[in-house]
Amino acid sequence: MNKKIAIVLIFSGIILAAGNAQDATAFLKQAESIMYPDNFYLVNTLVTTSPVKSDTSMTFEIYHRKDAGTLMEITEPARSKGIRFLQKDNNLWMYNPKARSGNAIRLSARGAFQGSTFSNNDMSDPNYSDDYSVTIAGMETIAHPELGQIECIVIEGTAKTKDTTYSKIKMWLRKSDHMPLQMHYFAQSGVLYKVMKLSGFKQMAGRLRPTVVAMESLDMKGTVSTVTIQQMTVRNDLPAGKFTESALTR
Amino acid sequence: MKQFVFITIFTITALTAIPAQEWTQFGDIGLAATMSHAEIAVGDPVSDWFGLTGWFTASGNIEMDHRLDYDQAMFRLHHLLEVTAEGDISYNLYEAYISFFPVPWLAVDIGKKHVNWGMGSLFLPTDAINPKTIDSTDRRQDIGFQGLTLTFTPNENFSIITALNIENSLDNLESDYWRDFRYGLLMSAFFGNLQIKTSLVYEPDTVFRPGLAASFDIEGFVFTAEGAVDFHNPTYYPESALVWDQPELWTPFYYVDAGVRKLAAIDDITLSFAVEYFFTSAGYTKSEESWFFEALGMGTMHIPQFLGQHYLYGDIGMETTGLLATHHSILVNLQDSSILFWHSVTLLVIENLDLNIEVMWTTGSSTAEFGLLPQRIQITAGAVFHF
Repeated sequence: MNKKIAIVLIFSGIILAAGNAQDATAFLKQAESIMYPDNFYLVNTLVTTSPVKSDTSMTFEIYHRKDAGTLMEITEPARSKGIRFLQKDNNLWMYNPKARSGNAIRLSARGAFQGSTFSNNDMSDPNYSDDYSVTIAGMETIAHPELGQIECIVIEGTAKTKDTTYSKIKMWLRKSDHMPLQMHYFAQSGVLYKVMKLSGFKQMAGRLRPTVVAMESLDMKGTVSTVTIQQMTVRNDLPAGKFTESALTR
Repeated sequence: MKQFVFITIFTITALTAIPAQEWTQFGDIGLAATMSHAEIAVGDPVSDWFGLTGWFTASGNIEMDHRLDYDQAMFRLHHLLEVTAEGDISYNLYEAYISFFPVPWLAVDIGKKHVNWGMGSLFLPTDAINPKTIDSTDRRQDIGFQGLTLTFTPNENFSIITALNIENSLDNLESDYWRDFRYGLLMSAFFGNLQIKTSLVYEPDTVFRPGLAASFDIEGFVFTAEGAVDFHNPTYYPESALVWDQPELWTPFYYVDAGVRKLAAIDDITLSFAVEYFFTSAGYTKSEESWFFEALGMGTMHIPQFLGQHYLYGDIGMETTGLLATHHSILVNLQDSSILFWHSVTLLVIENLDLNIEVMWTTGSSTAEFGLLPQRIQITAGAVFHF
């Protein structure tokens, strides 16, 4: 009798866990679609502030096509203008037209992006559902600087492979519409080392989206990099050929 | 000077007149002063002839890059004007081409351009399509070719590039100019973190070079490997200003290159390193080359080439955002133990203005292993304003 109860409980647990994962994945995908369309062009500014050094600012143009890749180009400051990055899956290339060589250099997508608290992958791959297995961790009310007290669904994700930038992520989504409000990033050692907060909610590319994304490093006390999206348009016409090495160096 | 001014004004006027979807324009203005000293130039025929043991030069330059983007086409112009303190003016057109995108899976490039080929940091054995030159610091540099390239992208993980280089034919349009055409074929495919490229470069009676390259990212370390076999080739790699006939046609020459590089960011400090090994079975040994010049009655003359068969290249760099960047590179010819060092320090504290000092130092086990003037040290101080 006890065995039967145990089996029923185990199966129920498995079914509930599977259902939980399905819900979590659906919520995460919805949050991703709120942050960015599948295919887009955007202009953003990346500002890094630190208590120990002067602020830095960069402006980028970014093209993204789902399953094809991301192409980024620095447009400000003049010192870095024209430098381009191409990301395909976990592969990253950099091309500097001022180097007078037609070749792009392949880099790892894991490193920090241009001295900011964002990783290369944070900047160029807007999707987490490809890289993390997620579950619903519970409900929590957080204090949001722009929205006040907000009830959130908390989602936890563990890396599917060792190639991902973070070992674990934790995401707070507004319960009412799954708008992403906050994220925690954990190092391979399991230590929390970055906190991301989303704000500046505006109508952009056909829906309400966060346009200010601030990433705080807990390693470097007081260092925050903030991406502000100035312009975003849906671009379903971007050809796959735009996301190739030959296009990167063109 | 006139050429640069004319092309710049013409381009800006034309691009301003055209209703561009996107127009990108940027460039640098640079000033540089170089002091060079040849430690053991005495006895070197070049030094003896010209009395060169050290010199000082100064120059200024302006370099510009213009790009006009449309959905279905683009135009790019990249050029440089340099003026020396002696009043010598030189103009260099790096790239000037038009690209068309008639269908999403095809790009057509016409004009002078560089083609992205190979995977190494310093050596690209598979790249025989881009012509090379040896610059003032003895480093190999692409100079771009005039011709046509077609890039096919049937899907996001596979592409094919075909290239036609007519650079040499333009000098000989009277007869058999087509025999100077150089053809290139490159295929690139992704399998997760692995990228594989296969290539073939062919020019009648000159080059037949199939090659294979791969790169893979393991825990942030990017490993690259590249190899090529050259048949029917009267030149050797890296390319030289001089050409000897190969003793026998269809004798294969092998080129193998392997390396690893890493870019790591710790706080706001970016560290980079690259190590690369290169083997070539082509070329002449130093003693054979010396014999060649002695036979011509010119004494033991040494020319700027990367002769030898085993090379090692290393580079380490560090940049503190908005403060300082340094690079230290070394190129070793393992065959004769000659070494070329570069060290550079750049101050980045002033917005859009780089203040740079570069030291280049050549040394070796014998008197003439690298460079026109062996055992030399060269110091360049420069300022570059970006706009």
